[in-house]
Amino acid sequence: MCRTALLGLLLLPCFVGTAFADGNDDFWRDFRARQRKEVEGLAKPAEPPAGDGTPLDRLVAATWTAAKFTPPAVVGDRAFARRVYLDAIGLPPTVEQLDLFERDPAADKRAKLVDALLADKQAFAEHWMTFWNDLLRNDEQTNIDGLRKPVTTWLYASLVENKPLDLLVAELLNPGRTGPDGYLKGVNWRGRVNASQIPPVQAAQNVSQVFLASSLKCASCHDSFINNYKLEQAYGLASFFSDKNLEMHRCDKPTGKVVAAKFLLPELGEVAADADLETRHRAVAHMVTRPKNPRFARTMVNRYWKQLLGRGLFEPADDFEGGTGHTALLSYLAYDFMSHDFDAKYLVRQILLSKVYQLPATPEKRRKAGEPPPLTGPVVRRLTSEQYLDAVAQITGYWPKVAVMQVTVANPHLRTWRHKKPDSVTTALGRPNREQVCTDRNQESTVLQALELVNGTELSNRLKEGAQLLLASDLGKQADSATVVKTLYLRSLAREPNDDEIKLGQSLLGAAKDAVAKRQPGWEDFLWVLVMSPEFQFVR
Amino acid sequence: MTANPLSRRDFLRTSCLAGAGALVGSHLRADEKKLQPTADSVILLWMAGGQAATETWDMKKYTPFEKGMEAKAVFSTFKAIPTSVDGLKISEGLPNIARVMHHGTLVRTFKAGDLGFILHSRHQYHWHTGYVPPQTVAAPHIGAVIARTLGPRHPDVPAFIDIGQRSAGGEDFEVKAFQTAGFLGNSYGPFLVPEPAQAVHTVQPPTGMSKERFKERQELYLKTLKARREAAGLDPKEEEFLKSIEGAHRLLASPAAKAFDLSQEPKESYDVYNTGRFGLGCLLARRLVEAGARFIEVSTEYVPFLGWDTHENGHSRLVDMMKLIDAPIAQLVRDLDERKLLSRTLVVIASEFSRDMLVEGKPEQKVQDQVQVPEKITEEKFYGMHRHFTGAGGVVLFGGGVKRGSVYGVTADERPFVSVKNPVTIPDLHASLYRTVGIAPDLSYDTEARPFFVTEDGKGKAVDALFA
Repeated sequence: MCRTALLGLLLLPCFVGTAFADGNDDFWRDFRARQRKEVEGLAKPAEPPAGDGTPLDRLVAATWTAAKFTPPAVVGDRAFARRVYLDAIGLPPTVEQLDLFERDPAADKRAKLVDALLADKQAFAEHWMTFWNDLLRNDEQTNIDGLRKPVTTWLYASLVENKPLDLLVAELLNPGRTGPDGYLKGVNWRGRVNASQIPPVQAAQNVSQVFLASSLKCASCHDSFINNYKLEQAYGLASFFSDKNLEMHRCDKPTGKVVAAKFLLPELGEVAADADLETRHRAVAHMVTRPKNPRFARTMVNRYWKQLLGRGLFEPADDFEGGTGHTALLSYLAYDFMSHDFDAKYLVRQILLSKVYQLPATPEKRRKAGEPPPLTGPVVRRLTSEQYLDAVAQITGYWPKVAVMQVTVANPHLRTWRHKKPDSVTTALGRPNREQVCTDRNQESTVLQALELVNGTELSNRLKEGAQLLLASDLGKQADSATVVKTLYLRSLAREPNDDEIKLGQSLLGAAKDAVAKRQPGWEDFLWVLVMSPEFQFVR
Repeated sequence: MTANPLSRRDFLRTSCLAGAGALVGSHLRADEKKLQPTADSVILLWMAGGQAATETWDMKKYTPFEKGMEAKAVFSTFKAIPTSVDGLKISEGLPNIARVMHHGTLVRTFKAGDLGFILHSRHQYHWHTGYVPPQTVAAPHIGAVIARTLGPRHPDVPAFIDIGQRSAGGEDFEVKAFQTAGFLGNSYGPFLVPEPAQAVHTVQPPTGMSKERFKERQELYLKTLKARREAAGLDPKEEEFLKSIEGAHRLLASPAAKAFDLSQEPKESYDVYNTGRFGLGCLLARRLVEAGARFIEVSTEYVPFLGWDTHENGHSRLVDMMKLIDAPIAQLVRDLDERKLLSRTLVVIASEFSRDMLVEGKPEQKVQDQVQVPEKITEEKFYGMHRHFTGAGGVVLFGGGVKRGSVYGVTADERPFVSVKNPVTIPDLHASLYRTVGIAPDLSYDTEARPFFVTEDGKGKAVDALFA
């Protein structure tokens, strides 16, 4: 699907850019009213076909009919609970939570659960920090000569309050004097920098990739050979992030040509050639996030969909020029999302309660070129490094204490996203160094990673400390080791063990009357067996 | 390649991170005849922190310490001694290496990149990946490129092993940023062995766990899996995960893993190598090459202001640093030669740049000073090479098909000690290293639909004169 086709989904009236001559006060004061008014003016997407379920379910069902796909039954309560806990708040359910949910007689118990999870502001924010830190390259591992600046505190507060995503992104692009200016500062190393990596060009590359699904990386050095973007377009966007129009460099050589700020979709607005930096920031924040921009809402909806189902409605999610997908469905969801004030939790709720999300997970298959990503349910997904290590911590009660990112979080448990410096297991499981934008964690299993899990000190220490805590807890005093096995299975896999599994577990746990020191190794090993099971490592 | 009015060569000349978008996977120039590798393994001995060439490999006039001497009068602070190569002299601090120089080629004219205000880790990143950060994609370490392109030599020995860099202090993040396979994916390493003396633990059960217990744990794991597999089946990703676990166990149980156990080395040999962490790293590297490793880096370890990063006391510190490297490197070369491995193993000694008494950066491109150098050297702590010099540096290559007993490049005998003949840049140096293992400089791997070349823009050119 090409760019023009996607643009054509919303017929754009000729529009003159809004001026915010009076500065930032006006811009922020009128922000929501302006956005709402513009949404009202958009052409409404076609009504989904009639039938059962939400409009989203009906739209998906229409693709099933067309593809002659008969959906299987949705997953059972326990599988749903594990999935939805990990997806909404990044932790598996506790035994108590699982039990409460299972026993809830309400017909809409899944909706009730999702609502309860989304209402847990802190847990939701802590989980989604990982996703956003990756997108924004937000990290606190280094800051030589003050060349970088994290936005952690602002970001965490934004996620706790569920800041609408248009506002969140507008604040990043127009930070003013008190906002998250670290984002536009970029990733810098001391010394001379290639023209294609000066902060305004970095901003153009990252804003276009992350928020507009347009790749300018190639075009920020020379006219792109992977899409239609020209060098001049990359500089046109970059000039919004510079206090004066930038001189275009081709392959790091000055061309003598100064490029005025010009948005990738010029019909969305403009800015005077002599505008100051604040005015440029306001203009670009407006153009990126305004409802008439056909890219922004679709890109964000697609990213959230991909987080929750393992593949986007449109792929590749980073580059709408070069891919294919379910554009009608994406447009519908984007419109719905904009109509709900760009509310991320509303969007997540829609997806988590959709029928397609609740289908059994299926293997990922290679697709032929031009074939849209299947809509047959989620794919089996590897837990992120953060989900995995948090889950290990939750089932054992051992949360390692290490140096943390500079943000105040009222949680006695130090969740992994806050670790300032990732240790070897966190890195091996895929936490990126955030020098580059990461929109999709690598899920591959490698021998080097397996070595870290099989004989590395980090996981081994966590299980050692964890086993000690468990043995000292009520569970350690439990006389019937079958109960211990059952409890730990429920905690880690959200299911009860079968008879074979109970016997195998018991063979490691020993008897309650034995000395703790004697039981400790067996408990460690049993925990290892659990957290190394594919069932634990993956969300199904 | 699709219709393009430019030939590929012209195209490369006019583009930076560019190439032919229509190609997929990895690309070799069609008209290039296949490179015949002259080496199967590479050992990179990394002199972290900026090793002063005029104190080690490229000796200038000896100027002993005299209280009150002029700074500009200080050339080399060590005497030059003869080597096993006629007419070639190196530092008196390297008497053992002097005796094996006939096995290798000394490059005197390595020219580091012009990156402005010096940051060690940035130059190290450049040296190890061929690219200057920041980059829009995560650039792979050359060891990862070799691992990706050639695979392991022995299935149970990781193809890319990195020894001796603990990265716990300053610039640790920056160092880790290039100690990676980048976009190639973590299958291609590095396998990290920060403490060579503890290397055996990297291939043993976790601390405190007996071999029996480790084995029983695995058996129970497999039984539990069987119970599950029968009940629910496994997804291909889950199968891939289990394969990785099997792979780890196979590696741990492999006879090749014994190479990691330095206690199995005869005492007299161990003692020759044991000058410290770096020396034991050289021993481990030799054992791993014998066992079938593909690419190994052994670092003296970069910690700001330590090791070769002499901001003061340059002379006295280098006495110790040369002691640290001299015996083990010489022994490594001798051992590889005796075992008939040197002819197929390239050993490289390199550093991110050199140092000088006066010049920061290089003469025509001076950058911000980081070290105060008094005009008169009144105290010994000012005697030494304390500024970062990028105009010329030393690289030593042993074995692997390079010329034996050869010297390449000429530097000035008067300050500034710049390259005056045959400078070697990073792309050309990398092209030369890659050539020994049969990798073309314009080999590329696609990421985000763009080709990423193993030397910058595919432009590296191997230095023919280095090869036998």
